[in-house]
Amino acid sequence: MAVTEVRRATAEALAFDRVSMVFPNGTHALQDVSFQVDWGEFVAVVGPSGCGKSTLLRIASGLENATGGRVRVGGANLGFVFQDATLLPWRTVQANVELLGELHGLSKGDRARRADEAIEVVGLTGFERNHPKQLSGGMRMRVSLARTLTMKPEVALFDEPFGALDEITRGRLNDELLRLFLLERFAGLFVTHSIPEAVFLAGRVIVMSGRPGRVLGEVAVPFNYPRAPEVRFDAAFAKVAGQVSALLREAHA
Amino acid sequence: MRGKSWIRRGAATLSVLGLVAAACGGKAKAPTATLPTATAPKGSVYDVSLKGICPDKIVLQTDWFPEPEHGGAYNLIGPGGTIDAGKGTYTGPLRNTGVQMEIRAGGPFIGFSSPTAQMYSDQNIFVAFADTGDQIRGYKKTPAIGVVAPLEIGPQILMYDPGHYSFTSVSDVKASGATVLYFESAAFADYLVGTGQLDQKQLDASYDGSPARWVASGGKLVQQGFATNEPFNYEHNINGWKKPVKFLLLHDAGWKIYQSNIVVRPDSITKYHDCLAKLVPMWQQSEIDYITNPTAVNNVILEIVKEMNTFWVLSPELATYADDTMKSLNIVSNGPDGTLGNYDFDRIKTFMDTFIPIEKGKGADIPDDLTPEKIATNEFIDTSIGL
Amino acid sequence: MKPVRDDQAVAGPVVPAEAGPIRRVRTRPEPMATKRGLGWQVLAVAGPPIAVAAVFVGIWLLLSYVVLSPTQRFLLPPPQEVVKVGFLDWENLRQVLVTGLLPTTQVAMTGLAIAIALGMLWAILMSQAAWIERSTYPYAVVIQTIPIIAIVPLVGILIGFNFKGRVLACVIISIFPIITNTLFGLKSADASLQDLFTLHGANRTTRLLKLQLPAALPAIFTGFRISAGLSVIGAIVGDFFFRQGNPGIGRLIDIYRAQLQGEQLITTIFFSSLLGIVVFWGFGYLGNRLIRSWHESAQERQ
Repeated sequence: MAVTEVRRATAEALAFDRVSMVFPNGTHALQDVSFQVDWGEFVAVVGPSGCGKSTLLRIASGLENATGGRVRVGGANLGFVFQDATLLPWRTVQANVELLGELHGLSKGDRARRADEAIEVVGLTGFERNHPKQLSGGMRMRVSLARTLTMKPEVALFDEPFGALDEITRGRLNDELLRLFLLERFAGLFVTHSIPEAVFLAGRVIVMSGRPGRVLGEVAVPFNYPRAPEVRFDAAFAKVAGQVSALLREAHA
Repeated sequence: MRGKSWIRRGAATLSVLGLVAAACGGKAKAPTATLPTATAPKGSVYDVSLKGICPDKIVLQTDWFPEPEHGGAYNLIGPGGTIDAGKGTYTGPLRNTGVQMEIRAGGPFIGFSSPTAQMYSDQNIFVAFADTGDQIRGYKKTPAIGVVAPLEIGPQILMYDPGHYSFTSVSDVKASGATVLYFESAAFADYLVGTGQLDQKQLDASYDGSPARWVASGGKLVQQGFATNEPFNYEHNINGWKKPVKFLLLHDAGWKIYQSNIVVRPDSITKYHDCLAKLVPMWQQSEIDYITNPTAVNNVILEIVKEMNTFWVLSPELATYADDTMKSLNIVSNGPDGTLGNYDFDRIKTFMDTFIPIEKGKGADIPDDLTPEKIATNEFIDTSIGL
Repeated sequence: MKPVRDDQAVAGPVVPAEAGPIRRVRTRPEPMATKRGLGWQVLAVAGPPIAVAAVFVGIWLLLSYVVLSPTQRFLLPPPQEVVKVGFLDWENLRQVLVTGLLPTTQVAMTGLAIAIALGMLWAILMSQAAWIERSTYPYAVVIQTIPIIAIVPLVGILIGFNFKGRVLACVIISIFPIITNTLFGLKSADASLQDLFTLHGANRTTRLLKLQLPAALPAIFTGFRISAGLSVIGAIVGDFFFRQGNPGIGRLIDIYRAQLQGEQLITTIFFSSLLGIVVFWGFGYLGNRLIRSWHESAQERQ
């Protein structure tokens, strides 16, 4: 919706240009990572644990500074979905979803309107006055997504958001996320260590090596959006997943 | 509870110099002020104007609650003053002298700090109570000079149960091995040990002023107290005892301090010389007038204590007992000469000679050149005033 | 597109009370409570405390009558004497309550309020900059360990030997748990939440008010509860050393000690404990209400 109307100043939504990261304690997290994400594109990054995937996102969002290379982020609004729902436990669902609006100084009415919309979009209407404690893991993650949506991000970063959930809920939330993606059309960068998840969600899957993280390669996912949940069990899906898997094996080799 | 010792401990009971050499009869300095001779009527000592030469309000910091031992001071105001029970003060005109006087209670009212220390931190205080031992110990930091000593003999005692013991001197206590209960910083204890009259092992410094341990021990303790209070109190008022007690005066054991003598800051001697020249004889006379006729002032003291409503309780009978004791034990008396309130420098010197080494052994910082003249003066005394 | 709902939630959406309790499938018949009746329930709840209290009174009687000799009995009068002389005698009771408990309560509450205000402020400052914590925290520890008796003359002369001095003694004694618990709470805000606030440009104040302080509430109220009892002790200690004006329980304790009035002494102790308990419980209740919706410690036990 809104994203297509924004004038873009840059060609890509997100670009990593030979990004390296060495932490003060000597850990060499990333080495010469270069790739980009186009506007409206959904890209997944897979790699073994500790390969610096999260660090990549933190650098992109400004939480960390790369020790080498540059990162360019187009657009004003950056969304970040953390590994856990990061809800304020003392606030209701409604208040949690309104949080970003508060932090960005939106008016009360504006905040409330956006929150109501977002809550409806993620399907949590009726739960506005519950506290996070009363919700399941999946529902909390949906609140987190709703919160991110209130700011209409043009670029959205996802740091293994569904990793802590069970298989069934995760599958549901993947479907959910795709639906939101198609609604809002943000540029998405999704980090995961689940190959099926990456292939299901993304248009491209970038494969990274173990520490220090380097880009090993890219696999294009040839399915059109919108994708039905059953595409997971398609033979072609397995083939793409296989390609990703093969690349990953190289990482360990 | 007799907590007065608790306070006085800060002042550390002074080891009174012993035995005033009877032969010398003490050395009293001739007064420098010219005052009416002994032929003048007693009342005339009060009929002088202090206005302009003394502070407009003479503030006295005492060392405890109001009590008969302070009668001489309260007599300077007499009845009709203003009581502030919360602050512990009694204020009123000092006779017809044209100045006001304020007597401040000590002890808990000043957080159990010493009146001399208060005199330094609050410069409004003109005079304060002090014990000779405290003056010696505090000479370096808070020097204080005694100008008149209303009490000739200190009322401090060690009391015991005649049903258990019969002592004639403190050395007898040592021989008996009885536990001696006292306040932690009462300096007389170290003095008595230092002079061989008590054994360190029998000392128990955990006295808290309450009669609980005495009663619970069934009278097996020897406990510090005041001749003017505990014997009467324990015999008549303390539940669980109500029997006579006997006592030994510390003065007789060599602890010959001038207890609750009136001290000033050194600069007041010169700055308020004319004031003291008139005030000191007044104070001497006031002590005499009080002990001769205590009733009116005792009523004042009883009234103040009643309004204060604390653990310190006085009754008319107790006040009478205190006055009688002060007379019979020569606590208020002329001493070896005909003057009341003057200092015997030989006595002070003898005391110092024993007290100072003991204190220095405990690490006290006392200047080597300290003489009795530096902590007491008879220059304002009217030698014609005596009982 | 129709919003997708998750399956049955742990708790349903918040609905008004009239709509009924949480839907839960009954898997077994109603427990015996309804059959046996109220009596057993009361016994189950009240029984243990009563039994312990009975043991307590038993030990008391043993000490009073068996361990102490008759001349020593004033040290611990038996319970019935305490009740007769301390509670049932109106003059005595009035003295304890009006000249003791009332002034002490005033000092304790004033001291506690000041301790809370200063303590929280100090902790907030320390949470904002590591150098502040490093250089000032040791002094907080020192304050806790100062023996009041040592600073009485100084405090008396600077502040007064009266109500103000008593309040200061109370503050000194009760401030440390406020400082340390508040600081602990402020620093324990979740790291991801901190990141979230950083990402969205929150300034210091916003972070403090919207994240750190709410997150710190459980710890803060724990600090309040600890300081509740300390403030009562602090007020009584203040009574002992700062006597001008209208001291409370501390003065009464001295009077009773001097006259060996054990019954009234114990009555006084009872009421000062009661004060501490009431404040402690009050903070517990208040804290619970504030964090009930989200913190484990406040969950009602089933």
